[in-house]
Amino acid sequence: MLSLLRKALRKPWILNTLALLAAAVLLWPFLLDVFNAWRLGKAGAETGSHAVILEDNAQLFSPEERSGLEREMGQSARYCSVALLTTRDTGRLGHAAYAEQAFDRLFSGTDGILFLIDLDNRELRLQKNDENRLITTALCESVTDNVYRYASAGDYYACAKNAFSQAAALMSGGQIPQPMKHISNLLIALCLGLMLAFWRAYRQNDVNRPEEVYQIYRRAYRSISFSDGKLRRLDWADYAGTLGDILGGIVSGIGEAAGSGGGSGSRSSGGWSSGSRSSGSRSSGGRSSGGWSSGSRSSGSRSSGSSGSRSSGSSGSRSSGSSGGSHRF
Amino acid sequence: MQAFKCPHCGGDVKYDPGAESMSCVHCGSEIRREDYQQYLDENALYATNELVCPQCGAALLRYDDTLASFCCYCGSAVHFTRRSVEDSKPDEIVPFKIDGADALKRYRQRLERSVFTPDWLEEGGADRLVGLYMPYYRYQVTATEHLTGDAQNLHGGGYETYSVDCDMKAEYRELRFDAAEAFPDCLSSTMDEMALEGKQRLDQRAKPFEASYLAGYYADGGSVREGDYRDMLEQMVRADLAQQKLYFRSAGLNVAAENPELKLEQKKLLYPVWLNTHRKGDRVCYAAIDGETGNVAAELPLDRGRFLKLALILTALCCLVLNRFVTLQPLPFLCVAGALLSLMGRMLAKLSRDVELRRDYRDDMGRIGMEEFKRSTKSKARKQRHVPVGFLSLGWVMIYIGLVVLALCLAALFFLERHGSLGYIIAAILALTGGLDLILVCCFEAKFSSSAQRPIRWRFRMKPLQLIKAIWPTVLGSLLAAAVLFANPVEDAWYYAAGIADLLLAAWAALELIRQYNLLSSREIPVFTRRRGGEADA
Repeated sequence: MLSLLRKALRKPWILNTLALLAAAVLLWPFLLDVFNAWRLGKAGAETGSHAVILEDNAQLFSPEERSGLEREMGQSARYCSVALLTTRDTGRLGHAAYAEQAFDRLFSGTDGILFLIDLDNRELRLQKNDENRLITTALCESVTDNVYRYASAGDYYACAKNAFSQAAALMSGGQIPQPMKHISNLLIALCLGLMLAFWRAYRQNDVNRPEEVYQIYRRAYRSISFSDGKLRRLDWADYAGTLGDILGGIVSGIGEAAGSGGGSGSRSSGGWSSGSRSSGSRSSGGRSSGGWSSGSRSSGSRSSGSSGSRSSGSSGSRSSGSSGGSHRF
Repeated sequence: MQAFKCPHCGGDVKYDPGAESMSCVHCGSEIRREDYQQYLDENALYATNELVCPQCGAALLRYDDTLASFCCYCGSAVHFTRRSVEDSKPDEIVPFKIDGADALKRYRQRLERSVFTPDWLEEGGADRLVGLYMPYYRYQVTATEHLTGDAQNLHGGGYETYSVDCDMKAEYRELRFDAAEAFPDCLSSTMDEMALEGKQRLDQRAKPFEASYLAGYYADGGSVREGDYRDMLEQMVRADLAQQKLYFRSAGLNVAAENPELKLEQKKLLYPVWLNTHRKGDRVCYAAIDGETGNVAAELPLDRGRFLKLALILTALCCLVLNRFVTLQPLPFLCVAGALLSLMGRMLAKLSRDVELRRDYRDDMGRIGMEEFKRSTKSKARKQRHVPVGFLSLGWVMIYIGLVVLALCLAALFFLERHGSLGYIIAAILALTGGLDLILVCCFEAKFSSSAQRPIRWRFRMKPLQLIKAIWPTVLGSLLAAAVLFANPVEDAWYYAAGIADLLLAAWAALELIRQYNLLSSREIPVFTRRRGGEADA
């Protein structure tokens, strides 16, 4: 299958066609953004039957602006209750916690969307109930991203109006322009694409890199044997013994080591100790003829000590029934 | 008249029929014919023809009278100069088993496995393929030592100390290095490793040398001095032995062989290779096909256009996934951009170093000679007697991790107060440490490996200033990301601008990676100096 794919990709016309398709896929979200921006401007003026709540505690809007906002909010009210809340003092609460409390207070478990302008923390927040699948948390973030500049400039009316306009578009099943999302995802995807392609190309190179050229141990057969010796334990008690007495322990030790190591088995040939090939994976040593001996290997740092256990952090669970996105201004 | 070599200076010797003796044209020595024949037999020489490329100076040997018209080292179509010489007889030879057509087929199959290779590598056919015997020095090392001393064993929560008194014997086989200055060591070592995947040892495949095997093929004269590799081998063996363990109760008693007696047996071997050479501009690419096993070790550059198209396809796939599942806010976007950039910078640093090493032939000891090789690299044989193995490499790891943890703590303290969100903190730290990471790469070039697996490491260092020159845009981008994160502006535009700048720099780094990779996969047209005596340009 892979070889077929490789053969296909080596043909210029297939590669060029796929590249053109890829370019179209990359451009499509931006065309969609342009279309959605145009559609937003042509939104209708129908109003709905759900509750429309406007609590301007921060005294940001004039009476005319309130009327205009209520009309705009009415479009979203076709689908669920809507609320606009402004405040200059959230107490000791953060903007998210304040919005959640307000949402529970105003909607009491029913569907709804709440737009908060928090002058205390200088945050905008679009809150919605968790069951709302048309407006996701990411979309809430996008809406606040799109309108925060109005709030930064002090034009809270335009900020709120645009926020509800986009919310209405989403609630009607449409989309809102998310240019920065698409640009940032495109660039990240470009980096990832280049890295993946380079990684694939690099993997196909089988010639040794400079530092690998003289790793001679990867290409050597080696056997090491110890013989005709005495081993005497010195500490605690003067334990004397010949190597013949502890041969059994060494043989069993080799057996354990052979079980844990990988690689080829040992071979013995006349005149030579049995060889073990030293490779990156380290094969077990063999046993040579004559005298006491043991094949050995350098396992060095390949000890049985395990690396630290991986602890999974537990993320806090969200118990509230609403969530949303916010932005500083 | 046949030209012979003077045994004193290597110059041309001519036989004077009148005097029934020979005299050297260069040093004037008089040589009796009988003495000369004895000299040939004693020195194990055989008569052959030497073909020298006028462009690069590469010397090939040819047993018959065929004249070469294509130089496999510089890729030029030239008329070789030819003269008769005596060359030392190798001890062994591995005859060709793969013919030229089969070798070419295997090479083309290798090209098909890669999607990125340019079409010009497929141009040409058998005319670019040269079958030649590469000279190798094959070593067998025997090390013996009577070990005495104390050794410790970690057992049951405490140390047991043992007095050790025993004989150690170590044997190393299958150690070989190519003796041809012209044949890159990276290709020969790759071929050797591939050949070792097979089950038969080289000493079982090699046959005693007979000149008849050379008929129809070239041979490289082999200009690397015999002793050049001995020093390296001795160091490697000593370093490896210093870490050996006497196994007792399934743990190790580290008994270091401090001063083993080494016996090196050296044999000269001719190994069959089909060498395919492609020349593009002022660079050449080699592909070596093992003449016995058929394995292919090829330097394959990338075709930039093909690479970019494939990268575009992968980009589209990634973009579809990201647009479906990911919406990054400005702050995390910048952090991701900074992290990606630092990753690219790290890859670029590594590749730039390899390119510089290869350009200076510091990965080709046969080319530059042992002395210069040792000067340009540093060897470090590790003694692991009473310290845990891997301590020295672990030390570098600790330095590196310590610095990163310090950076994490500083950044966490700063960001916790300003953002209060753990996710953002971690993302911001990634971007910040990206810049630090690159600086550390430049300064330390730390590598983390088990020293037990690498008893000796030739440390190839690039000068920090040169490294920074290669990757300074990526360092700048990472630091820019960190600067914006610390400044924490309200306007999203700052984050997006820095993030976009970082990602564009990452795209630049990727293109630079392709360029460096292509430099690594090819080499400048070589120029060789010859070391034979009696030549005007020696």
